Amino acid sequence: MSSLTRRVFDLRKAANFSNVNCIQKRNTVWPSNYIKPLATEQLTEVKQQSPEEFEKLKFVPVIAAPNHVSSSLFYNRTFDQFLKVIMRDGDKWKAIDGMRMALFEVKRIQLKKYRQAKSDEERAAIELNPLTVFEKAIENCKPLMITQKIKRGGATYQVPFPIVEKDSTFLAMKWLSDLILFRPKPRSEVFHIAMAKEIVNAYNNEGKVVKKKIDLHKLCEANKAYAHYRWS
Amino acid sequence: MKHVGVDHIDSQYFVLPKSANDALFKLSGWRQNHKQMFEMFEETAIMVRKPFHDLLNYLSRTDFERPVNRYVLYGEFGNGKTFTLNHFLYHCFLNRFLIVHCSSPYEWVFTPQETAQSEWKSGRIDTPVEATIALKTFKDQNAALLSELDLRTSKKYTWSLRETTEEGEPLLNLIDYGLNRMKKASDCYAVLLKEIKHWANEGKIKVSVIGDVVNVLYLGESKVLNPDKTTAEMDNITIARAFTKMLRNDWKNGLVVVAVDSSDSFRDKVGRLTGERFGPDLPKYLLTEKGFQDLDPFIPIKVDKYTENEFENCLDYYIRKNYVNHPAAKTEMGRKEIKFMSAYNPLEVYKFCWLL
Repeated sequence: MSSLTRRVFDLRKAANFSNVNCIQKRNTVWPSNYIKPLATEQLTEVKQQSPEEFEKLKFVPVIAAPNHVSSSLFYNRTFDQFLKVIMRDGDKWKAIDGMRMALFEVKRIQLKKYRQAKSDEERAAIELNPLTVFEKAIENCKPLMITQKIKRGGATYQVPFPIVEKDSTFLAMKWLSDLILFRPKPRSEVFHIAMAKEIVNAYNNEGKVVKKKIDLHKLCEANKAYAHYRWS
Repeated sequence: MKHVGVDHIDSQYFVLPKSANDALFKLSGWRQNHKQMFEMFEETAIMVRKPFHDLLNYLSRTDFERPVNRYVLYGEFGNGKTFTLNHFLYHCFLNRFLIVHCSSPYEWVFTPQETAQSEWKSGRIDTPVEATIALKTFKDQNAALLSELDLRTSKKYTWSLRETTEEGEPLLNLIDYGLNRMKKASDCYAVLLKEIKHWANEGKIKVSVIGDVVNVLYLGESKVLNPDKTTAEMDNITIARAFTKMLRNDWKNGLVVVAVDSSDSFRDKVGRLTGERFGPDLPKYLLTEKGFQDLDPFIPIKVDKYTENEFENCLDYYIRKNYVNHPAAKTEMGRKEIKFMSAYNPLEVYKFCWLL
């Protein structure tokens, strides 16, 4: 099954089975008597509120917890996802260190702006939390539509396609990481500074990644006459 | 002995005046990440901690007629040895000590910018750039005191056929000569330290010798190459040799405060968090046999991790300075998590807050 047909199949499936539980049951490997995993804090809550239920929970089989779940207060899903995109050769610590330094640089840039601001209104508008800046930057890079090549009558057309949330998030992250990782040599800036500048630019709706997104949108707009190739 | 400027409150932040910071730590003293931090906070704030009070205690009970006391600061990487040293340096500056400060001896022996053969003695190696920086640092740190005391050379020094420094010339002339003639800077620094030792023995001045990471000077071989491509010994590098002589106790009217540190690159983050030690932090191991013989007897002072109170003050300061903005970091659970993750290590607290 090609990626295109799979995507269409997915969309149809989503349209037909609006009840989410229905889909999950079809693909799940877990029997129906298994319950969802609970964090330690949630378990203590249950224990305090209803001890009887807690006693029952002791003997119920549990579904394995997803890899990305964390009970840390400072956990950020976007940051964690981005680490997986930017990681090379399975070197997670390298990715973590580089990105932590980059976000620290973001904080320094924002703090510098904060110090230079003159009025209170200006100061209130500046976001100092680097994780929030990063989330907003990724949000600004997400494309709403993409184009795919389709061959019709010996010619290939760039046909606009809708895109699901997950894929558009991945594309935004991929563009950002590729731009910094494969920046032209000789490199004037080290990784974390180049990355920080690009993140701040994307946060302000400027920069190369946002431009790439806008160009893609323009291409989709120009090629909207080919849209019917999607189904015919 | 009466001290000036000891009205600091324990485990509170003390702000170093900007003028003093410029005079004392313009060329050396703070590392790159320290400077970054001060630039971010717009002030040079140091926490007043137990090792600093220990040093003051010892200082107030010192008999300066006896051979110099040596104090060795030790502790885990990131616990604040450099901060304690620099805080104490400022205290010495207030109390009119002549300061001999070496903040980065690893630059002298591992990564000198230039090397040249000494004209004074064959086999010795000069590091002109590092020596000039050391001379300039000395001049900046003691500018007021030098002009006031009017120290003069005790001997005649012949640099070359035409250039000499006569007996009875001011020490400032000697320093200026070294600054102008970079080729002679290393020898000049060695002579300067010799003169300081002489005048301290005479009782004219009080000297405080302060050195960071001095254990690199006792590692045996440097990374500097001789003309025949063999690595030079530490003792053959002129300024390193001169500085290690200051650490011995064959003189009086002074004090020596040094810190020893293991290389941070050997350390494992996970190991530190779980409380395991990777390589000992104790001075006897770090100084090696030679260094230990040189410095023995010394007074060890441990620089420990944050206490509960110090940690709270630190985080409050970070929040006040807009360094920590994450809403969860301002709750009690968030603080608990930072405590757990950083294991009360000051540097780790700072690093953990990069993302918050």
